[in-house]
Amino acid sequence: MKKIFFLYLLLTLTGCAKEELFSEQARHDLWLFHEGAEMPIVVEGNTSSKIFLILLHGGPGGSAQEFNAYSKAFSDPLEVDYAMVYYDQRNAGLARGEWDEDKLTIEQHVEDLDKVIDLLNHKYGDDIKIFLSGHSWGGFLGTAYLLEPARQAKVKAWINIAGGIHRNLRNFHNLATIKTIALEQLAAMENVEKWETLLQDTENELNNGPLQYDAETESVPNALLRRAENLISEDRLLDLNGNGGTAAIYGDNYDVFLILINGRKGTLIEQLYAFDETLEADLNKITLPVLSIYGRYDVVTAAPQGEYLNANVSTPEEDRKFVLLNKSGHSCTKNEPVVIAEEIKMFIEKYQ
Amino acid sequence: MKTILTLLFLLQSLLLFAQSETLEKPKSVGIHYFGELGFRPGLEVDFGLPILKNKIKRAEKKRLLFLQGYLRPSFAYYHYAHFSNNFLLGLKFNYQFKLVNSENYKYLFAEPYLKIGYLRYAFIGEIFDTANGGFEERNFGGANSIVLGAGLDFGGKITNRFDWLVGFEYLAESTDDKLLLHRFVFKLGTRIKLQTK
Repeated sequence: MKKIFFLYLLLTLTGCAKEELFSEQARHDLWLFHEGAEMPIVVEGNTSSKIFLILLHGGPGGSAQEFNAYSKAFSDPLEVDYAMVYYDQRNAGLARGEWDEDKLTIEQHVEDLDKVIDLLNHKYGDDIKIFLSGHSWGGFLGTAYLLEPARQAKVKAWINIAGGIHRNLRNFHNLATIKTIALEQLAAMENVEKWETLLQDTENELNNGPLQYDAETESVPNALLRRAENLISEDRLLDLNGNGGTAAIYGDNYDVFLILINGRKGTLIEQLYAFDETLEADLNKITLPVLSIYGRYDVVTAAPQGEYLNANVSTPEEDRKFVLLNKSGHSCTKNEPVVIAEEIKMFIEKYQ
Repeated sequence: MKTILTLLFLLQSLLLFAQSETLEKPKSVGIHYFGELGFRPGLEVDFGLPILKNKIKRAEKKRLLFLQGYLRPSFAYYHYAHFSNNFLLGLKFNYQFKLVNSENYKYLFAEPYLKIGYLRYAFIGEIFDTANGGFEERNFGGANSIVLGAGLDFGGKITNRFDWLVGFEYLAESTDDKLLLHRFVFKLGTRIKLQTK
């Protein structure tokens, strides 16, 4: 009797320990140790679809877990149909490991992403379909990754959400967008005095500012965009759909302090300016289907950044799509999560 | 910095065990719920050894104030969902202010303390290492930290054997990947006296 009991116990325990690779509600916690970095990757959702959507977070220094934790209206509907891949980049989010400034480069981030994609193939098989998406800096990183045709071959399509694509042009795109919004708000007689002042300062920067910005001089347009963001918030131009933090902190692996401290570390701004030249030369190497999604009130990486991307890739016209969200700013997955999730679903269904 | 802290930690441990045989003062074992940010669940066990001479002051007619220093080596386990299991080996220096009613021997105490410790994160999930080319699966992976902090415990008598205890703790965590993190802990539990005389 005792033997039967222990055999039953053993079978039960080993049965519990086995994790299903393909299911409709999977949650797999993976770690990628690469070149000193220890990067967490959460695969959550419908792995049985064999469609994997990688989400590259912003920053640098943000966290992909943030989308899973605070933008559930965006991430949950996608998890129903696909396996979402929340990957925290080196020295960002919940990543741990060595802090090596020499490895905080665009090239290293591109290499890390390549390893993430290879790891997904290694774990889930070569027959899975991988879609790549990225928000803000993630939009840049995904674009940089796809400039190499061999890497493009590993993914089905590219979803750029409010990506900062071209660093120098970004300043002019942001300033032009601030001007447009200011004129609209003045016409609507909203917050007149503040918008007038901001409009004057913006026009002054557009007329007298440098033609080529750098890490130092971009502080002027950056200060203007912070003022614009405050006014956009005051005038309640955005929808707000983020969910609360309690479940995120205690139920998910969301470590506020770790994410904040990681987020304050190094910056790649100088490298981003230097990369503009590569981008101008190689953007036409991208032939994948492209979906660009931007908020109308995004003054951090304004919508013309997406238009620039769509206009310069070599993807056939019918496989390029641009979506402008009318009630969104830069954090558009918190402003219009349902619309974005639906657009992504339609796009994936078309190109899977 | 880390080397100094580790040496300090070891030295204090040696002093603790060197002294523990020479004093005959009440020792106790504490068992607490250890909630990082309140609700990230964990458990802490500590062991109290008196290290400074007990001083008695008469607070009022019926009340006596006892002042006593303790070293409390501690071990805590707590859990971050989907991320890591965490093991904290610590050493606390508690200074107890204990107010005793001399008629019924009921008491309340407050204990401010300093804490130093070593924290080990054991990552939850599958770990893949690219060090040798390809993806080599590793059984263990994690991070190390040194923690320095302070806290305040309050407690009182339940029975001759048991005390209740509630406390708060702040820990500054210096990680091996050069981060400085902040940790806030809520504690609730009991202390079991090993001598009830």
